Amino acid sequence: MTWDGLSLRLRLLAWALVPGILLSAAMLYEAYVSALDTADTLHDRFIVGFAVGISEQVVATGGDLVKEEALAAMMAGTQDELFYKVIGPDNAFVTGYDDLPPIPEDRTLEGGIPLFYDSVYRNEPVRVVAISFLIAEQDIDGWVTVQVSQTRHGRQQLITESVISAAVRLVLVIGVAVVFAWIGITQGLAPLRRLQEAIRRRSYHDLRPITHPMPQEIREVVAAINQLLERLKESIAANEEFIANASHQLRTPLAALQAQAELAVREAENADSRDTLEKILGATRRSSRLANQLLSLARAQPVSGGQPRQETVDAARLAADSTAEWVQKALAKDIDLGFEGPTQGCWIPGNPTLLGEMLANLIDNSIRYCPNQARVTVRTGIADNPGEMVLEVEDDGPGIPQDQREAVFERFVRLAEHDEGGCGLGLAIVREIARRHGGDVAVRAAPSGGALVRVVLPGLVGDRP
Amino acid sequence: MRLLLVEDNDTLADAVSRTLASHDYAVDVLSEGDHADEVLATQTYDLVILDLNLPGMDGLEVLRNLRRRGSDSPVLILTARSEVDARVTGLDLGADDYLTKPFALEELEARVRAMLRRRGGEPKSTVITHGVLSFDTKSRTCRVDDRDVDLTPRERSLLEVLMRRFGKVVSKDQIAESIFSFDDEASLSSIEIYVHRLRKKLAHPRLAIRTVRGLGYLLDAQ
Repeated sequence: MTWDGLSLRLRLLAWALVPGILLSAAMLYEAYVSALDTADTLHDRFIVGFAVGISEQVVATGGDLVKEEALAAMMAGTQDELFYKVIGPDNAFVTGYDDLPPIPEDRTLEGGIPLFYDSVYRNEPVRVVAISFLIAEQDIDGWVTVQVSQTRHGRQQLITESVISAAVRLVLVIGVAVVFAWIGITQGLAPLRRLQEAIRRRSYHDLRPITHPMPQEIREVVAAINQLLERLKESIAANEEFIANASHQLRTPLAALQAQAELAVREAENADSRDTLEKILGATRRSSRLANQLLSLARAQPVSGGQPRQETVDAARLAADSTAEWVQKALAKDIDLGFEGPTQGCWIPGNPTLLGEMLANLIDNSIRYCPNQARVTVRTGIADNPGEMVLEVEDDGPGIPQDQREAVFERFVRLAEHDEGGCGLGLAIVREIARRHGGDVAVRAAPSGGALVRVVLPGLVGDRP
Repeated sequence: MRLLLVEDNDTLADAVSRTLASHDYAVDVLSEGDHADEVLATQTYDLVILDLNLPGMDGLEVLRNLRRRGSDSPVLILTARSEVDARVTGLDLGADDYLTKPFALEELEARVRAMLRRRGGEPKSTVITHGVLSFDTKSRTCRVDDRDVDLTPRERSLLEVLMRRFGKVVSKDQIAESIFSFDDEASLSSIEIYVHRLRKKLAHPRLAIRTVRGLGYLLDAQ
């Protein structure tokens, strides 16, 4: 993974933790060094005391022997093995262990000042101290040197314990830091997630700027996104305005063409030219319809011309009224157009013009593509989900093949075998308007084998609020 | 009948004026809004057909001026703007009806006829006729193909409401309202019985009372 693609969380953690770990390692080393120093100081002090004790014993016993009880008392409190050697004046060995490591050649012992050195005694590393005392007694008169060697176990143990306890503390600190850094980063990144959700939840129509309160660091990003949305909105609006203008501009010449063609059909005297004129008239009507449909599609899209009026609409009554308006057209094809479900009392928030247009397109589609004597039913009802209402148009016509059921909602898509003067925009308009109202539309097979177009619209309130 | 057509598309104006002329209406044609405004200030027409998008002066402005002068000539608006707001504005300003371009000439003829009839007040005749069927709202008698049909009072009321909304769906509720009085036990299912009886009595190949599933009934004639 490249650095660019690395998650923000890992980056932040890395920046917080890598220095922390390096610092901890340094602190651990420092703890080790200081433990070493402390251990030496303490133990050196101890063996100096021991050496002083030995010298006193030597004086007390007149240089003969060191009492076992005194030795035991002095050695209490250490697990280390202690060995001593007493050298009288004239370098005469007095008592102790004769083979203790001697003072290194390059060091000189000065009277009264302890001299420490490291060595090996009986195969173990030892610390040795040598001190000279001036003793003026009956038996011994002159400089007496006492050497004491101590194994390093105690020192090692002290160092190990100090370092381990320091390490434990550091690991705890780092652990707590990781936990809080994790929580902090999660908290810190939460606005990003909210932004992501806010963008994800948006309908594709909604190009309003994002206004969620955001931390300063993300505000720039949001501002950039908002600028993009604004430009997108302008571009879409310009596009739709063009379509609306174009179809608007087409209407008057089309009206003229259609009126002249109608007149010509009326006035035609011979059957052949009448037939030709009928065809021109038919083509003109289809062009008019296309212009109208393009215009309603452009109008169904919200960006152009701002938000349409939203009110509470009785969709059931609208559906019943629309159905009634189409009965004559249905009768002309001997189609049994009927209605099922409530004819009033399904109030939803919406725009009555757009919803009416949606219903007109749904019913027109069924009548247009069904053969004569088909049965078309408009149905209103409540969806399985609470608060949603259903508008359905079911027919027993040829139906829509499974693999085409999504394609029919695309613009200018018509089923190959049909040529009923449709322009392939009807269901695209239906979907546009349904989505505009927060709902959607889908096609499935009717029990009769025909098509069943089902629109689900949210926000249903049983009665007028 | 004198009609004024204000339309700047010559081809459309030509077709519309020829159509209206074929019905023996005298039609003046103007193509500019300000010109129409001047003419309307001095002349009175039985009907004005007004395009909205005009050079010189907007159609809505012409309409506003016309109404400001107190004229009550019926105005039919032709518009390429299908936006409802434009229609509402037109109707609020005192237009009587509107047609969205492109329109069928038959539709235009029907609207013009209806508007002129309305202007002429209630039709003097009390007889409603549709195809072979006629109904006298005063004597409440019904004829099919010059044959008197004997109807009971409720059948008559049923026929009347269907005739008045000829070609349109009449809901069972609307029928119930007109055939049952307050005291009657209004039952929607009994309407079917009356419809059935009326169908039998009207029996004619060119007449049909169609049942529109879930919505009501519709009287249809060829």
